[in-house]
Amino acid sequence: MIPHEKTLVKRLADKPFALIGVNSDPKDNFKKAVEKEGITWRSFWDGGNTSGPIAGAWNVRGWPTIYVIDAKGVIRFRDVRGEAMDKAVDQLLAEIEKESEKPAAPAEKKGE
Amino acid sequence: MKWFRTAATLILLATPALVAQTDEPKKPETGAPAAAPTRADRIAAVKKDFQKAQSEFSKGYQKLKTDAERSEYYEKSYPNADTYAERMLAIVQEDPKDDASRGGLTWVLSSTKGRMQNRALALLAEHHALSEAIAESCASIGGMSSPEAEKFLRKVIAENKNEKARATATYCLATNLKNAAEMHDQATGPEHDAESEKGMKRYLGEEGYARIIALDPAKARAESEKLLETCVNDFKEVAYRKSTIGKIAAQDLFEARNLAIGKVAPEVTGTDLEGVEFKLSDYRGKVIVLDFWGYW
Repeated sequence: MIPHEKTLVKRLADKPFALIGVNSDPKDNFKKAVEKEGITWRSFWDGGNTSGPIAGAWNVRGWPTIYVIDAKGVIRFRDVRGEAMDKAVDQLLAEIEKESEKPAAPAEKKGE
Repeated sequence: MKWFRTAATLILLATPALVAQTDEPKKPETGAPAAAPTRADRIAAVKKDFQKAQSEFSKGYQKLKTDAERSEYYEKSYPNADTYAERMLAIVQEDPKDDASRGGLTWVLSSTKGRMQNRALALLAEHHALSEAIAESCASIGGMSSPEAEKFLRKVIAENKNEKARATATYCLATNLKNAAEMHDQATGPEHDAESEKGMKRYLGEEGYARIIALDPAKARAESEKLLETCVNDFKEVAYRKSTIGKIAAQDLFEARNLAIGKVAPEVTGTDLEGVEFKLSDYRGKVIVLDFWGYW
């Protein structure tokens, strides 16, 4: 997981993309993991175990659990990993680009 | 793949063995009287043998260094649960009605997939659907995608007089329908090709796959939510997995209503490793992968 995510983060460094973790380890282990694995992305620290408030609010019962959220904040994919994660993210990034390419909305046509 | 994350079942502990005295007890070297193993003993022995085989496999696996070695070892040496299940079913079929048999069948349900599971399910449906203790088997059945599994859970809900059995079956049917809807979406989605169809058919069996394809996912999800509401309203205090059916169902309902694909993600507020507070919405406008992880 982590090696793939490192690659993904690097590849998309110049894109509107963010990988955000929610970590369930005791703080020391969290710190050690970040240092040892060279994790460059941010994580919420969820209180030191798997019963933390964020995992609780999201009803997380298995680790890892992945949600992919688009630029409008809508959940679009769940539990995609590896290539499937890449594909999902690339698809959503393409949506952002498409949005920005749209011409300005035309004035309201009357009596069509 | 999502369906591997179905709820694990409680492994039923074997009932305490009763020592049977034969008419002419043979005296082995130790001088203790010989005891004929009871059916419960033999059922327990199958489970134990399988556990032993698995831990032997683990030991061997951990000694290997390369991925190639490991996958070859796995192909060759992983203990085949079906073989043990055959042994188990043979013992169970001597007297499928008793409680030890129910435990044996539950073990088969939780340890195998496909054909073996369906055989165990058929015996449970015939002999134990109305039993008080069937609650323990429902979680595994909830994880099965065959039409028989759904039928069985509905039968327990409609006919079993024990509240815990009905509550557990209701919750497990809700989960079953939700998973079936997800599998339907996967099987009919853009990512689904000949290879993934083969894989799904192998895992679900022909009948299970056919059921998934024919399912109306919106209907299944709607019924799933209704069943969860029943759990919250009618089975609030029924114990389940260190919690209650009501509590767990309420969480699942929240998830179904707020965390499904197409819903706006709820806000998250928290602190990072440095203790700096931040929010998920700080990243609005970006594509986000939210990854719940741990390093254990």
